[in-house]
Amino acid sequence: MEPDRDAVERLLASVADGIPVDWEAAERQARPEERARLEALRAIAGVADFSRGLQRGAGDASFPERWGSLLLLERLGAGARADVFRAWDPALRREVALKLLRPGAGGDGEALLAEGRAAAAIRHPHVVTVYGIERHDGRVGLTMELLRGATLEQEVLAGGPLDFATAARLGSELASALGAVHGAGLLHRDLKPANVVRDSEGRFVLADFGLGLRAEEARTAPAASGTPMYMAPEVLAGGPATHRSDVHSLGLVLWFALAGGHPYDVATLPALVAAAARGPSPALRERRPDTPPGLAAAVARATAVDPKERFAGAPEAGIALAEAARRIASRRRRLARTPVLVLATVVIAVTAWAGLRAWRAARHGGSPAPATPPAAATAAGAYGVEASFVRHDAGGRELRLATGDRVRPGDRLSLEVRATRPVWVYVLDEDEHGERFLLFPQPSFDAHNPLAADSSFLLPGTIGGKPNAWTVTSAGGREHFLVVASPGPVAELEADLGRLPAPRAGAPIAYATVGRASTERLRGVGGLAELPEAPAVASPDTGVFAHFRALAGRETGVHGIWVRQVVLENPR
Amino acid sequence: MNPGLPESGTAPAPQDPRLLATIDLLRLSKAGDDRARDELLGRYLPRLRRWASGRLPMYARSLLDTSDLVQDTLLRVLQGLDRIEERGPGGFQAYVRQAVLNRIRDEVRWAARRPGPDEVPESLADATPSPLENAIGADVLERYERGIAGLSAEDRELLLLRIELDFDYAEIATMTGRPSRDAARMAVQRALAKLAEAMGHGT
Repeated sequence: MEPDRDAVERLLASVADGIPVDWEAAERQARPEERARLEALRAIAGVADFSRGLQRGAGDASFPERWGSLLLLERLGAGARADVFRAWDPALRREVALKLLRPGAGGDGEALLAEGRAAAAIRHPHVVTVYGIERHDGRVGLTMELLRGATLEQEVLAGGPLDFATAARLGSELASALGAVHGAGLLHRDLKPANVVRDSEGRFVLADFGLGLRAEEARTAPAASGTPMYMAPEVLAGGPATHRSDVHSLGLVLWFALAGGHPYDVATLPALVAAAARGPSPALRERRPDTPPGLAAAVARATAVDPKERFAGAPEAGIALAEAARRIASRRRRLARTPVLVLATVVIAVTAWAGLRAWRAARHGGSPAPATPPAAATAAGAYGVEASFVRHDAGGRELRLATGDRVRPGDRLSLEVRATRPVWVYVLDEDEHGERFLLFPQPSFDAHNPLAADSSFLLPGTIGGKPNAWTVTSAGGREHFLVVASPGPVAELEADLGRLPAPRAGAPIAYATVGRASTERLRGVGGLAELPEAPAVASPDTGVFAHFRALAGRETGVHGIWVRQVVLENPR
Repeated sequence: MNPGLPESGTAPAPQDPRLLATIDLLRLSKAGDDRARDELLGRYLPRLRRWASGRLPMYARSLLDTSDLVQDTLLRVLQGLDRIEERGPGGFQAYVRQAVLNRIRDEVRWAARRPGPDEVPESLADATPSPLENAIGADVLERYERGIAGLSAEDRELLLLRIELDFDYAEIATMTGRPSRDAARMAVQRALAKLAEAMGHGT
């Protein structure tokens, strides 16, 4: 197939002319056969950008070769009062970002130094680290961590609005960052998408202190010196900046990230002042109707015209946004189901709640905890359980998984389970927010509790006669599964299940959220006790894995509820 | 028409040296024309110095001030013009570039061995990246250099002027004897396509 010659020509022209290229977008659109050439062009553009910085910087009074001991390498940006450079610190042998105030840029030098020192005290994962502030050759400069990544403005303009989960995380992280800035006695006053960087690890970082100003001085400072489009209405009207005006800017940044544009379609500053006094229009949900209600409400509250109607501060905004993020994450189940064409037959590990109690007792050096008997734990005599997760690969093979094994998005998982007596089986999954879901049983699944004795079941089994599996849909650090077997129904989990809406044909599966009462009950039998990665044991014979080993393959010794936790690594 | 550009690649004499192609300046300089030699120095020295600053590890950057290796190298090249002219279009820039790179390597090793308070172990000196390596990575730079080395001298000249020395297209048209800014731009793009192709095959 012929490559898109126009696209290639445009890229060549952009690199030759020194026009910035959105390489991520170009790579996404490139055909496989074009990738090597694209990568080469990107490398050449790197040489060109670097050389241009060298050539254009020299001889320019605003681009000195040195500042103090730092060697200036490249101008990264220029604002009204300062330039930002990539610089080399020869003493520490690392690259830094240097924000260098222009000579005569205004501001009290001593106040700026004090402000820089306050900023340097902030240590926060979502605030750029300030290394220090100094004055050389009459110019004040702030040295900071050099962040590598695109700004939020670049990302949204190139790639469109953020998805809801990412936007909620952005809001939560920025609110946390703003809280740290406020906590240091500073106001940001210039929070905008261009001042937020998404670094190579995906973390959103407040990358610039903008016109930071000590909060106690804001009352007397001249107003309206930030970026007007992201200013609070009261600041645009000439009032002082406050924590709440920073929160308003945060709300507008989120509005931009979610809608892909600014809420005020105005061309002049007077028009902006008038529009801001009425508040964002249209409302966010008019621009993006499917915005989750919690997220939309948080943005609306942050951007309220009346400061008193806003969040009182960044921490309050952070709580609301974190809750919105949690709800979105809960809805976006990390495990979905997709058809699976193969069935597994393999199995492993066994433990018993009685065994766990014995282990806990041994570990704590006391007698077994007086656990309340679980609602279902009828004394039904000894029975045996075998259970193992298996992964189905593309070639139709099944791979047995054990704790510590890795899974990736796209992996299809099933649970093979077998017991020597009829059992009620429950499969729980814990997400990264600690919320637990009941993956099995489900009203729509063909397999139902109790599972018959002495038969192998592959869960989730079939749905309408078609084999299914759980599919890992995102990378998230770890997948925690809990498999529970019981001689009778576990009342608390059945109650959670009963709250599910009735299944409808063609509708996505809604998984039950497992309530605290259920998990507390299971905790009572040791089921949710965290199994150590490498168990701290008094002796090999008293470790929990020793119990697993002791019980594995034995058909006796399991009484009451049986619990097995499996932790699969799912690195981002 | 851009008044700053010659109508054709062959410049009639007498003419302002600033409007002459590099190859014509080299010819005049070889014949003893000091104005042509000064124009060559003025045209290349400042940009080559800045270019070299990106290629020198940080600890060796003072060499640009103390011994000015770029000026020294350029003057030596101009004194030995007989060897260069026969290389045809682009030969001069490629020769100067390589001469400065060689000199940088020599000087960096010398600086590493030089005793003193700023002494850098030779092993560390070899491993210390230049700002350009820091910016784009040593592997990428190596691929780029290999790709550049495989091009014709003419293409190499165009890319050196545009990509590394940041001359604008009008200046490149003058220096390479092309009739217009657009002609220079197209030539640069063609050279760029060849370089990308060469680097792409090298991966």
